[in-house]
Formats: sequence, C-alpha cells, structure tokens
Amino acid sequence: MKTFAAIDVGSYELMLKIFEISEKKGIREIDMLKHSLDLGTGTYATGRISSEKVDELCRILSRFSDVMRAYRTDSYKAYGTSAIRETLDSEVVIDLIEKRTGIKIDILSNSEQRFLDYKSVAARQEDFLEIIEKPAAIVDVGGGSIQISLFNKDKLVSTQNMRLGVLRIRESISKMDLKSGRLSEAVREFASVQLEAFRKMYVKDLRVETAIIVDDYLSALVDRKAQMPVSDRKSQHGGNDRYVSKEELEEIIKTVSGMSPVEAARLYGIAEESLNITFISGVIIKQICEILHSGKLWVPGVTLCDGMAYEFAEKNRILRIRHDFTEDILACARAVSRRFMGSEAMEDAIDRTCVEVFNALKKVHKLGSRERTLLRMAAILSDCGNYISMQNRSECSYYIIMATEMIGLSHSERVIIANTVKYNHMDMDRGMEHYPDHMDVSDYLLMLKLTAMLRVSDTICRTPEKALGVSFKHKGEELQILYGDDMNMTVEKGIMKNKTKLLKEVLGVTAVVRRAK
Amino acid sequence: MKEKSGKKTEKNNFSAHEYFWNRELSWLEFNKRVLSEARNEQNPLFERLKFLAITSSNLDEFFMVRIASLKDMVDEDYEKPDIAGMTPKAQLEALDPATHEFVKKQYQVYRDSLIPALFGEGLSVVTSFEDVTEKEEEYLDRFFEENVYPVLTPMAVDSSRPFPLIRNKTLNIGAIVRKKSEEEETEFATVQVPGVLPRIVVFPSKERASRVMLLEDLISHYMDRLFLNYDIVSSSCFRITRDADFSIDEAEDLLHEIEKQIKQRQRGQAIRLEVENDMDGDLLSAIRSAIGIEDSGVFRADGPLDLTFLMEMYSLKGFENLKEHSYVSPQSVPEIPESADIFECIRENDILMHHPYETFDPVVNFVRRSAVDEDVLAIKQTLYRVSGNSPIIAALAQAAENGKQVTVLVELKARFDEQNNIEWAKMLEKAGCHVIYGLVGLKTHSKITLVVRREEDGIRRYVHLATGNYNDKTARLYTDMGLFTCKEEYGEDATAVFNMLSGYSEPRAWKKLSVAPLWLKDRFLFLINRERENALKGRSSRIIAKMNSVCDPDVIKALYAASAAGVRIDLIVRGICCIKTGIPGVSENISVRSIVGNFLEHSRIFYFENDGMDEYYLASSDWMPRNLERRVEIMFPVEDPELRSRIMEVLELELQDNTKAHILTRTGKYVKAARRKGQGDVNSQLEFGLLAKRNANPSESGTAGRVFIPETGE
Repeated sequence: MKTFAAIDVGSYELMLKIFEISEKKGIREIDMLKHSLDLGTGTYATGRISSEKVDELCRILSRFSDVMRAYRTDSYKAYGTSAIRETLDSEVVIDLIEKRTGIKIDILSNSEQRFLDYKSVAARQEDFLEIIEKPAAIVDVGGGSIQISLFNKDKLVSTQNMRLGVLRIRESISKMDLKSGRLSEAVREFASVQLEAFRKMYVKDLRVETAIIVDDYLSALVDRKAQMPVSDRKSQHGGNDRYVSKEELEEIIKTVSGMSPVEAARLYGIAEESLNITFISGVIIKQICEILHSGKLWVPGVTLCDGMAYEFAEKNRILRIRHDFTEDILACARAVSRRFMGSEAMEDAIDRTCVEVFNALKKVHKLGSRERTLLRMAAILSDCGNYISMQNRSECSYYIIMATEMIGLSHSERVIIANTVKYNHMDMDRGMEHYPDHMDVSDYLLMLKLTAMLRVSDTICRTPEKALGVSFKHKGEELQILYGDDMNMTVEKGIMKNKTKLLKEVLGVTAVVRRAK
Repeated sequence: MKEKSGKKTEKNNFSAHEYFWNRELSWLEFNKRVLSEARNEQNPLFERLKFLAITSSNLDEFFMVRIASLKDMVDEDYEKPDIAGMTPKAQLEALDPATHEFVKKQYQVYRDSLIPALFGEGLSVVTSFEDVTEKEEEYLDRFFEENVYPVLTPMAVDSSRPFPLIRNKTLNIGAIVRKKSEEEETEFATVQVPGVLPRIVVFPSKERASRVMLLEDLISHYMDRLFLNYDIVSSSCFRITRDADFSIDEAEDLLHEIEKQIKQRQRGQAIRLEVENDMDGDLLSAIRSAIGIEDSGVFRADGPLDLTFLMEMYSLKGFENLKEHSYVSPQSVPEIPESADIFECIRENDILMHHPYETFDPVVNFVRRSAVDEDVLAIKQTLYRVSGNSPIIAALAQAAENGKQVTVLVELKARFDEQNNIEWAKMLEKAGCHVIYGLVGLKTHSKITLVVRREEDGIRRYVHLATGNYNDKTARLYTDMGLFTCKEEYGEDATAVFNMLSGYSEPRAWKKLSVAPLWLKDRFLFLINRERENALKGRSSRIIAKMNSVCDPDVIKALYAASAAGVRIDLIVRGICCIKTGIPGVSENISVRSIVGNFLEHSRIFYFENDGMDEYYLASSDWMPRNLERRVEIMFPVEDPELRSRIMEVLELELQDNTKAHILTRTGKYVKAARRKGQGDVNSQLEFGLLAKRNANPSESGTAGRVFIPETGE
C-alpha cells in the first residue's frame, strides 16, 4: 500500500489529489483539493507569472504540502502544464517555488500531459475498450490548447494539438468588442480555421461515434447531473450518467448562456467566475463534435492527477496494466510516417530489425524498454523527410519530428528521436559544444547509442524483403549479422564497416556480416 | 399575482398572503407556550421559575434582534411585506400590543402564582425594609458596605456631565436628586446594579434560604449613601434593551471586525425601556428623553425587572424537592460500552445517539481518543457554540500538540457567542490548530467532525454528524441526534466539506450529504415534490418533519402543494411556524404540533415515505431562509434499517405526546393536545429517557433491544 500525492499546477487551477494505491484495491482517491488560480491568462499574454501569482501559488502549495504530510504520503509528483511551460525563465520560478515550499514542479510537455490524460481515460478500462472498438476520439480541452486523438478499430491513429484552449480563447475574445449574445459566434469563428484544417487533414470521412471529453467544465456539469436523484433525470443512455447526447449538450449551452451567474451557481454549481469559461467550453466542444460527426459524448470526469496516479502505479508495478500504451505511441509514429508517404514494408522491416539489434546487444547497452521504444520510433520515422526533400532528408526528418505532436513523449525524448534520425545519415560534429539542442550528457549518450543501432539496422534494411531473413548474435566483442545461405550480402558487407564505426565507438562492438551456419 | 384564499385551482401557487402566519407573531406564540409551562401547576415549582426566566431571556433577544431589525426597516422606509402580507410597520403595530400584553402576563404569573407558591414553600422575596427585622437589617447593612458599595459607580448628570452610557440589558437604578444646598434644581442620577454580584441576597439562615431580597432593592434602600450631598427625590429601576444585531459581509480581518462590533453592541439604538410600575413621571421622562425612545417602547413591570434572576433562584440550595426529577439522567450508549474502542464500535455499525436521553460522552471521548491515538492523522471539526471549559476544545488543542493535523472551523458570527468563540479560536491557534473563522457572508451552522485514521487496509474516515452543537453542557438540556459512521461515502463527503470550508473549490459531486446554502433547499423541495407526485399517481406518500422553525416561503408552498395533492404531512415544530393549517384545498392535510417540555427540543428529523422506499434524514438546518440560504448546513441520510426504525419510533412517540405538545389551530393559537379516549398520559421526553434506560440496562428491565410500547387508545 502506497500513499501518493499528485499535484497539477494547471493554467487556471491548482489541484492536489491524495491516492492510496495497492494491488488489491487499485487506485483509491482519498482527498482532493482544488484552488482556482489563473496563471494561464497572464502567461499566455506576457510570458511571465506576476509575483503576486507566484506568492499565491507558493501559499497554496505550502498548504498542499501540509496536507501531504498529514497523510504521511510516500511520494509525490507535481507537474506544471502550459502556464508554467510557456513562462520564460520557468526554471527560475520553479526554483523559487521549491525553495519556498519544498515542492519540486516538473514541467510536462504537452504530449506527456496529453498522454497522462489519455492514460487516465484508459484507466476506466471497460468503458474505454468498448468505446474505441468503433471510431472514437479523445477531446482533451485544456486552458492553453485542445488535443484531439482519433481512434479507429482499437488503435490510436492520430493525435493533434491546437492552441484553442478555453483560457486562450477567452483571452483573445476579450480583446474584441463583442455585442452581447455574440460570444458563441465569436468562439466559433475564432476556432474555425484550425478546426477546418484538422478536419481536412485528419478526420477526412471518419465518422466518430463517441467523443470522449476530458475537461473540467463540462465534467463538472455531468457530475452534477449524475448526482441528481434518479427520478429527476432524463437519462437517455440506459442509466450510464456519464454520457451526454448532442441535444443535451446544446441544451446545456443554451441554459448556461441564458442564466444569471447566481442561478448558474445554484443550479449547476458553477462558480460565478467560471460561468464564462463553461460557456466557451461548451461551444468549442460542440463545434468539435460537429467536425467529428459525433452524436454522443462520454465524459468520464478524469483529471491529470488521475493519470499521474496511474503512471505511478504503472512505474512502481503496483498495478497490472491491461492496456499496452507503448503500442499507442508506436501507432502514432506509424501514422505520422504514413502521412509523409513512408512505406509500410520499410517501416516494419526497420522496426523489427532495430528490436533484434537492440535485444542482441542488451548486455552492452544496458538500456530498458522505454529506450527501446524510442529506438523503434526513430526507426519508424527514419525516412519521413524524404517526403519533402530526398537531398536533405536527414534535416527534413528532424524538423518533421520536432514539429509533430506525438502523444506520450517528453520534450527531451522527442529531441533524442529527432537527432537519432538526423544523424542516421549525417555525420555529426563531436565535443560538448556540439551537443545538439542543448541536450544534457546522459541524453547525448543515449542518442549516440540509439543512432549507432539505427545505422546498423538501416544498412541491413536497404532491401526490406531481405532484412526479414537476417538474424543477430552478440558474441564477445562482435555483433554478428547472419545471412541465410541463399542471400546475397555483398553490398551490406561493403558499406557495413563505414556505417558501424559509431557502434564500435559507443558500445565497443564491431558489426560483422557473416553467413549463418 | 394574488390568489383568492382557498381557491382550488391547478394554477394555485400557494403564495397568497393569507396562507401564512407572520413569523414574529408566531414566535410570540411560542414564548406563550413556554409561559404556559411556567403557569402549569403540574410542573414542580422551581421548574416553573425556570420557564418564566426563559420567557424573559427569550424576549430580550427578540427585542435586540427581531424588533430592532423591524425598526431599522421602518427607519429606512422599507415597505416590502412579509409572506403574510405585513409591512414592517404593520408588524410593529401588531407586535406592540402583543408584547405589552405578554409582559403583563409574565408578571401576573410571577405575582399571582409563583410568589405565593414560593411563600407557601417557605421562601419569601422581601421587597421592602419595612418587612426586615433589626437583626436582618444589621446583616444587610454590613453586606452592603462590604460587598456592594465598593463595586458601585454612581453617576449624576448635569451640564458638565453628559448622560452616561447605559449598557445593553444591564439593570440600573435611576434617581431624581436635589443638591442639599439648593432648593429648586433637580438632577438625574443613575447607578448600575453590578452584574458581578448575585442578583439574590440571601438572608442568613441555618438551613435552606427562607428569606431573600433582590440586590436592586438593597441598593435602592441605601441610595442616599451613594449621593451624599444630595437628597433623593425619587428612585426606581430601569433597564434598556438595545439593537444588538450586526451583520458582517466582508472584512479584512474578521476577528478584529467582530471584536469591534461586539463593543458597539453595548451602544446600539435603544429598542425597549423597562421600568418599574411606580416610576416617577419626571424620572421616566428624563430617561426617555436621554435615550430617545417612543411611548410604545416603554414597558412597565408589575414586579422586578429582568426576570432571568429566577434562574439564579433555581440554583438556590435546598430546594431539590421542588425540582424535576422524573426525567432519567443521560444513559450510556449501548453500542459503545465504556471500555470499548470507539473506532471498533463504529466499524461494526453506524451508531445513532439520542441526546440527552443518551449521554454525549461518546462524542467527547471520540475527540479525546483521536487526540492521542497514534494512527489518527487528522481531526477536523466545526464549532458553533461550545461550552465554557469545553473538553472538546482541550482535546483538539492536545491533538495539535501531538502533531495531528487539526482543522477547526470556529464560527465567530454565532450570535451572542462571538466573544466566547474569539477566545477559543485564539487559544486553538496558539496550540497549533488550523483555525478557520467561518466563511465570508455565511454562518457555518453545520455540526460535523471528521477523524482520518491510517489503518492496516488504508485510510479510514470516521465521521460524526449531528443536529446539535458540540457543547457538552447543552447536550444535557437539548434534544438532539447524532450519528457515528465510517462509511466511505460519508467520509468522502465530510472531507469535501472541510476542503470547501478551508477555501478550496467544492467537490464536483456530493455522495451522501446535502449542503446548504447551495444544494439543501433544492433537495428539500425535491423531496417534498416527490411525495406530491407520488400522491397524484396514487402511490403512498407521507411527510413527517421535526425541527425548530418553519418559515421558508418556498418550502411552505411546496408543502401546501403536496398537501393539496393529498400527502399527509405531520410537522413537529418547536418554535416559529408560518404555516396555516386547515385551509381547504391548501393545507387540510397538514398538522403542526409543538413540544415545549423539560428539555429544549432541538433535533431536526425528516421522513419521506416515497412510495414505500422510505428516506430518513437528520440535519442541522430548520426550514428557514437563513438556514437554507445564508448558512452552511448539512443534511445527512440515515440508512441502516435498525437506526431508521429507531427514528420512526421517536417521531411516532412525539406525535402521540399529549402532555407537553400543543397543536396549532386554524386561528393561529396553540392548544394543548387533546387526549384520545382511553389514552393515558404520553410525555415523549419522559418516555425517551425510560427507553434509553431500558436499552442501557437490558437485563434490569427484562426487555431485549430497543422495543417499547406506547400507550394508545386504539
């Protein structure tokens, strides 16, 4: 039994959740503290958090820390999302906060954050698995941005981030001189360009049956609905109160827009100050549902903190996790590759080869499963730059990876993958001053190892069909690349030496091409 | 839109003024019921003294708060009528003769019933030195010089000395005095009867007191010693009641603001002037012009002012035979044996307690035990009115010192307990508790305690929820109910309550508790309306509700609608009730009864039949707008079938009470409940005591479990 505290320093709200996690009882939430603090509006506009806001933040975090102590929590995690992420000099703020409160905030990249949200949804296993059997989407509405992830036949097919967060929209709209009653129209206009692009690029003719909504505002309303006495509800979904139909959503938006703040607070429990955001939330969700052709919403009411607890349980192996998240990440990489006309056969071959090389060299590189996933992603994406320029494919691949949202990756992981792909075909300048993208030493070393292994695999996969017959063996200081009797290996043998220098350099292993016995 | 009374239409929204009694007049009816207990010769004599004293302190508060606020409204030209259609001015006009009449009755009881009865029991209240023996006079003289004179501060008023501040509710002796050197000119002088001394001066006696004199009579006798250079032309007692209501909506420093306001209360606008019957006309006009009070605010008493001294008389030693002893003292709670681990007991089952028939000790012990229990991580509690020297406060302080996280909400705005609560709050803070001084604009009236404990299989939360305050003293006098539970959902909600009170956002959803001011009213309206719908559909429906006051217009309208639909509604309302019973087509199915007995009825119980799926609730809230809209209140369901049947027993027995119950009639008057043919006396409070005794000692009584058979005529 572990007691775990999750802190979410969000754009408009601070949240602390205390969990008890055990194999027997699973994840049990035992306390939840929520405090409204609008960090986002200021940060998005100026890139800074005012000192008053920092003081307030410290005050609340100190109180959180007292609560954590009272529960004798075993460990905690504090994540800052877009408001902290987009603060210039965020390190200074984070350092100050740690000195004053003892709480260390880690910055979550958008894709990590979305992945945690995704995990918190997937944690509701039964519902989730059932929903994604048919085309589905997770619509994750944040203060700064909105993430839409599409599923088809059980698989995550794409995930895209748009800077259409509710706080950001409110901030932009507040500058307009709106006539009353025009708010809804303004929101739609503001969002339409990006959403239309998203529709053309990704949704195409996919008809999403259920949109899974992760947010705070609509979730609160649904909670309230679920709490109403059964006989007073007009449930249209066979007793599952976490579903909302398109019509109900429209009804909610209509009610909220026509309500005085006091009434709204009384009827829906919406704090007066968030009435406006609730409305914007409703409008934007409705608009997205239209684009997705989705007639039904599932609002599980999960939060980032739930995802953090799930991640903690996963990392510490307290829980048996049924869903394979690695597959989701890889599926995402494949979808990106496909978008840039990558060949499916090539992807599969190089992915498989990388895994074999990685496994064969386990004793020398001593890397874990996460690193293997990074290598596989690099492999899958290794030729995506060809789509833009075959001459500069390395750099083009690098830029595509750096600019593409891939769920589940931290910023530094993305940098590692992008550089692994870049230096697959390019020579690199060595020495600390040349560490790409200011990465630190350990990231640099990892990137070199992955690059070394990718180069080997890439060489073998020049003809994907042939690669299928190759096997690998690590013996002494050699990586033996074994070809079958009937296979021509002249070309590989010729270039292998040159392409595997790095392998010798970073792992102390020489790659040799041999005939299998 | 005004509806015609009794009009039976689908559109009737039951809001016509004639469907409601005015709440102030209804309150006065309540005080009359208390007065009737003072008059009731069935009650032991000293209990009757107590009842009269209670009517007197009740009336004080009524003037300080209710009449004062009506006067404010009139001064501000506020003319909106209340639900009964009376403007503030009309209400004052109705209350003026009613309160005067009431005071007259109080003194009739005092003079014509109690004084002769006391005399009959060998206790005389001596009012004049003419009736004092020489020896007694010697004693009184010495008593005055040694004990009284040193604490007196006589004050004279002339052109250089302004009229002094006469503090709220203090007893004073005013006098017209004339300088010995001067012939003509008179001055006004006054002296406060010191509150630090007992009001009753007991003449020396070997056994129990047989002759007593009131302090003001003693001081009056020696007035000339206070004003040495003056002749006393006339002297007489007076007492001023001031506007003591204050509301604080926003303050930078709540604690400081309230301290300031409490001081201000001593100087509030004078609302009532009480004088002795025979006060000299000059003296009266001197006082009246100084404090600026109109004719209707002057109350002439045919006896001593401020009858709360009778409470002091009640405490005189040696009169035990004239006090109530038929009520059983608080019994132990059978589910919590003395040596048992209270946490274990709660884990076993939810525990319902009915105070004062059952002792309040488990609640005190719950906090005490938590303070020293190694596994307890946190204790959270709301405090509204606590006793002096409260063991609960001490335990909380100790818990904080033991390193537990202690969060206490001390409601600084609890009327007339503000000063008290400020002191507790400061003390708890010093001990290391996290003290919350209530919420801005809302009084926290809920009674809830949460103990968070780390146990083998994880965190477990123990919750105590109650209808009454965490006050071990009043828990012996007030009837209340409390529930111990460690059910997960109650614990989660309790956690959320304290997070909300600590300034965090509300939880997204409540699982068991209904919390005012946001949800409780809607919940009540929903529950009442559901009965109405059931009745309309021909399903079984019934409401029984017990509380202190009913005056929320929305709730009453919902009750009327339910009654009109055929729901049988029985209300047990101790105090104010604005419902009019027996209006055809509106409230024929509603009965209202009030129990005014030995203990102050204080529990709030709500029963809804709900077509056979009965629901039982207890709450800290009455059906008053202030509870439902301006306070933090909690209503909680009782779900254990056995506990529910106990609650039903309580309600049923109270509905059968024919000794201490009064029934609200169509005219707005209350009459003693009629005894049904063949029915014996049923005094519910008496029965509950016996029941608690039987339950506490099942072997002695020979009956097993909680069973009792009320006497019925059928």
